[in-house]
Amino acid sequence: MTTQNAVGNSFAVVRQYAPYVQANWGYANHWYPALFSEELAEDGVKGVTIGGHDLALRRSQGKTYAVSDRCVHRGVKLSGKPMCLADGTITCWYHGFTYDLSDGNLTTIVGNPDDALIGNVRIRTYPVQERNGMIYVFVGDEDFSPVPDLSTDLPMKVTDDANPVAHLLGEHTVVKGIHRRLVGNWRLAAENGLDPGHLLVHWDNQLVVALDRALPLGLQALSEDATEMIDIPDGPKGVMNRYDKPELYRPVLENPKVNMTARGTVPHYFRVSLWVPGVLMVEHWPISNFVQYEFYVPIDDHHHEYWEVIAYRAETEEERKEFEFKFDNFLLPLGLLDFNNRDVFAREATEEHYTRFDGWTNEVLCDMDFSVVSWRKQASRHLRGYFSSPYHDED
Amino acid sequence: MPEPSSQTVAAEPAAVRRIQLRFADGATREILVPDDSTVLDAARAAGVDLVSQCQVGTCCSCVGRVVSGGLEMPVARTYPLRREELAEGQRLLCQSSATADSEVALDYPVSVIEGRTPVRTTAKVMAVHRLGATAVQLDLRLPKGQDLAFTPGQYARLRVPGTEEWRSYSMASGERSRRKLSFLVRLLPGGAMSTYLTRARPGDGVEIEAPFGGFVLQPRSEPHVLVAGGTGLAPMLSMLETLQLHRPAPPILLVFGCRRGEDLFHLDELAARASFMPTLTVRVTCDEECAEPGVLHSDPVAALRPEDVSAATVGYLCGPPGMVDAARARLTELEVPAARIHSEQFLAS
Ligand code: FES
Ligand code: FES
Ligand SMILES: [Fe+2]
Repeated sequence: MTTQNAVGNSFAVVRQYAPYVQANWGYANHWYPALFSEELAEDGVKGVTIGGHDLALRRSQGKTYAVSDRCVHRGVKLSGKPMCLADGTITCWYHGFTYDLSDGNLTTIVGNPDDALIGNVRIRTYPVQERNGMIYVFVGDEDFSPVPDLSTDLPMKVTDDANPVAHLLGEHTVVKGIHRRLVGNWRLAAENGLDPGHLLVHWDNQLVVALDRALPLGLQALSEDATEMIDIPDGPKGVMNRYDKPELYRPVLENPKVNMTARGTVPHYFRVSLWVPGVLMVEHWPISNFVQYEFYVPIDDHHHEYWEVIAYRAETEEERKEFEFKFDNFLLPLGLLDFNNRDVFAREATEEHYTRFDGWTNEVLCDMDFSVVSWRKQASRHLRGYFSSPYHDED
Repeated sequence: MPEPSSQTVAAEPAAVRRIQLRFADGATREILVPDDSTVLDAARAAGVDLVSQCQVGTCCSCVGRVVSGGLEMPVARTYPLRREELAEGQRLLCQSSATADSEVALDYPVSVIEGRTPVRTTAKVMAVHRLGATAVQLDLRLPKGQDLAFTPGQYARLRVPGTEEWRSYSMASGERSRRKLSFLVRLLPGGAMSTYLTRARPGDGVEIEAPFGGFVLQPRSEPHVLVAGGTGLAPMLSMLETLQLHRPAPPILLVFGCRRGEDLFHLDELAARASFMPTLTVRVTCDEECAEPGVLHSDPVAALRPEDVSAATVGYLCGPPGMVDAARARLTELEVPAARIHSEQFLAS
């Protein structure tokens, strides 16, 4: 049984971006954020799941490590009950298998230091990088090499702006943010972030009303240059809605049929781009000179970790304090929460159709979706692999 | 039965014992085990990768039973084998060396370690799509828990519903898709499968046995030339999915041809693949004059030019016998070594 509420569908409708449509579990062999630095205390252990890979992150003597969160012995999660008995190691709380964090080797078993397994088995380790308050892990095939540079999986460094926003790896960049586990496939989240057609869900957000932002009802692209495909050699790959070029768009300000008129009088410039493997950059958002980054990290085929990060360039301690104050009292409550909760609601609501009714072949895309389609095509060209279900006997 | 230890002269080569491995299905493999090697290591060196896990004598997964001769494990430690089991001749092959020519029984069939045992089950028809004038894409879904592991290029046997006839078709879907399989079927007037497909309905059961076949992709970074005639495109589609992720990405030329213009299909599919696989070039040919833009009036083999092929080229050919033979001859003429030309031909039935 298929739902025939769509027109012109055929099995081949998704052929233009088939690799993307196949990537239910996400793209393997890319860098993903795992934790904010402040979430991992010295000697702390935290478990996260990315694309079906269970990872244990551990900080020991200031250094960050990521290892497989499955004890080889009987498979319990090491992070289930963190136990670290010696520097540079992690011990399984159950029977005491103790692993070296740098290579994963079994170095001893608490109650059986002469066991023949010692030195002969190991848990997997993952490449980690900690930059500007965020811990990133490279997740995918164990033998994937060489591991690409972290910057290839982050939004590009903006250069075509008189006042370029802070890059995630920038020298004076400070970040603050939140992340939460949400229902919904990672792709639906990513597409919602880019979607120029969903201004409707934000029209009465507190931030927009309080700042009297001039927010159109919609944006009609006038040329295909409105969404640019960006492919930087050995660098980031993404698509950008060129809101910096007003001649490429016609803002829709009223729709008499439904008696709607765009609100607000204060024009505000921002620009949205989406990057492989699923990272959004909204320049000059929530307010000018700040930038909001969002990661939609696949957990499994029906959940993603939604990361909302505000970055700012702070060269002095004072500037950093001011940024933190603004974050706590304005950007977080009005931006990341009130504003983006609308997006959260929208994605969770979209999931059902795509899961149960194969939404990918049962959607009717409209003019406003041009940039979503560009993204799908771009994302189909630049994957390095697929995550797949690690579970036995399950789809 | 420990042998009396004697001082060995340093130069003397290690003795070698002949071990017959007997699997549960009766299959046997013979290996040579030098004195200084374990049975497990020697078997692996001989290309027989026996079941093992810990390899240090603690898990018991490598166990085998000595039927005749002798295998010996180091003494003075404990093993996960009980006294009775040892008395029966059970040994951990990862710990054992051979003290005599021996026969060792294994409690699993050889298929566990060699090749893949074909799955036989009943799949469900998900969809039947008409492609061009003479081909159909058949999508099947395997029951839960019956995942099919296969290598691109391999084929399945399908029983034509309502008959005793079996037909073979290559998987057109990629190897990552283990439960949803696609096949390309050439429609033949009066053919058993063709007749069935005119009345096929989603949900029909189709008996399937798979995978089979030695026409398998071995992904490399060297240039690939894929030549497909008609529904011989199926294994190439499956291979392309795997090749997309291979790094460094191989340059790929796919030449796909049909006899008549109305038989051509999947041109949009191939154009799409080329759009997201930057190293893929597609050339479509038609033996007869045809109105389709961009289609060469040629057969797929004549469309192969000397500059398409280099000394390192790997070729995969699939289609009717005449085409495959001609393509092989052409690649040979262009100096592709025989060992790098892989082919599969099909006969209409
Ligand atoms: S399960 Fe970890 S030591 Fe036993
Ligand atoms: S492989 Fe585990 S006992 Fe031999
Ligand atoms: Fe939004």
